[in-house]
Amino acid sequence: MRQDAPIQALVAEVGSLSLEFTRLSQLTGDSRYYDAVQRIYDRLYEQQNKTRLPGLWPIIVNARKAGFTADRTFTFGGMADSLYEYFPKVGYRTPPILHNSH
Amino acid sequence: MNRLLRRYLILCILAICCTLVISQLFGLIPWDGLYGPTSPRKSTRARSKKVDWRNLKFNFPISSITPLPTGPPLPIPQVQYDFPPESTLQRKVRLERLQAVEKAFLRSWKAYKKYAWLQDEVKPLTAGYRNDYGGWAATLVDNLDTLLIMGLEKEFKIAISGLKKVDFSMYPVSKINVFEMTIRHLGGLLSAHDISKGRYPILLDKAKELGAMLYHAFDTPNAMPIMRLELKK
Repeated sequence: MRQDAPIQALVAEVGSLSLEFTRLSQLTGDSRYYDAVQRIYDRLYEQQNKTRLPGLWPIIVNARKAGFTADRTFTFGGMADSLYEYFPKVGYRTPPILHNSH
Repeated sequence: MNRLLRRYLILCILAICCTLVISQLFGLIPWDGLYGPTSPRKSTRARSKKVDWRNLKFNFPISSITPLPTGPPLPIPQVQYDFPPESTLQRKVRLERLQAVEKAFLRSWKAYKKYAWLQDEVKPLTAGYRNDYGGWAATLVDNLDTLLIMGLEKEFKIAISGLKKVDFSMYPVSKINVFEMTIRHLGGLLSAHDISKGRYPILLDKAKELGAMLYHAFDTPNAMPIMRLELKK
């Protein structure tokens, strides 16, 4: 079942899996789920200050290339909102780790 | 009444009682199915094929897994304003509002139970149902935590018994929307588990089943998730 991540995805979709997956890892002791969403967070973090509005991420991201910088549209509203919403929620549910305490 | 007729009547009543007892013992009377649409659930009948998500092969297995960090999480600071104690009038207004919310919720919930039980969503204008989220009782699963928060214990227990019929190994009826299934189904199961303090093991069991499915969305060359998961022949 060969598949490839989409070249156009909503940043809110990609960035709003972390709370549930982290919690699942915590409840099952299986780190796979946490690992999966941490990879997304790592990429987001690496590119946070390289977007057209440094500090924020645009709505459309290229998941296939893990590129989060190209698009020029930014919002806190729908299509991006839960990306930002999840940061403090995940942050407060997991013990502090060096590179993700924003 | 003559003796023969009375005997016949007693035999009939005994026969009916026996049938009821036997049916109940063998689960032949679908008490749960008394909720739900009157038209046959085509979507669930067609899905006899199963998917073994746990053992489905990965094309790009992850070789090194970042372990969950150990230790206590940060304390959450208070974000709510420090309100002074409630007056009697304020309490009365608050409770009236709570009741209004509960009434609105129950109206929708009962419509879902009556017209779309175990389907994804009820169609409020036509009293039909739709299954755009894979056909795994999206409304039921998504509302498990809401039922608990609202203190609707009886409805919650009905929902739990419905949840037993939700089988994530069933062949999906549509492309799996990874985002929606994560926030609604996985989120719903895990938050209900947390709120009920683990009293209902089925919640975590189903979450694990679902996790095994959704994890396959990350089976890509760069481990970024595909957002619409589907099985190809």
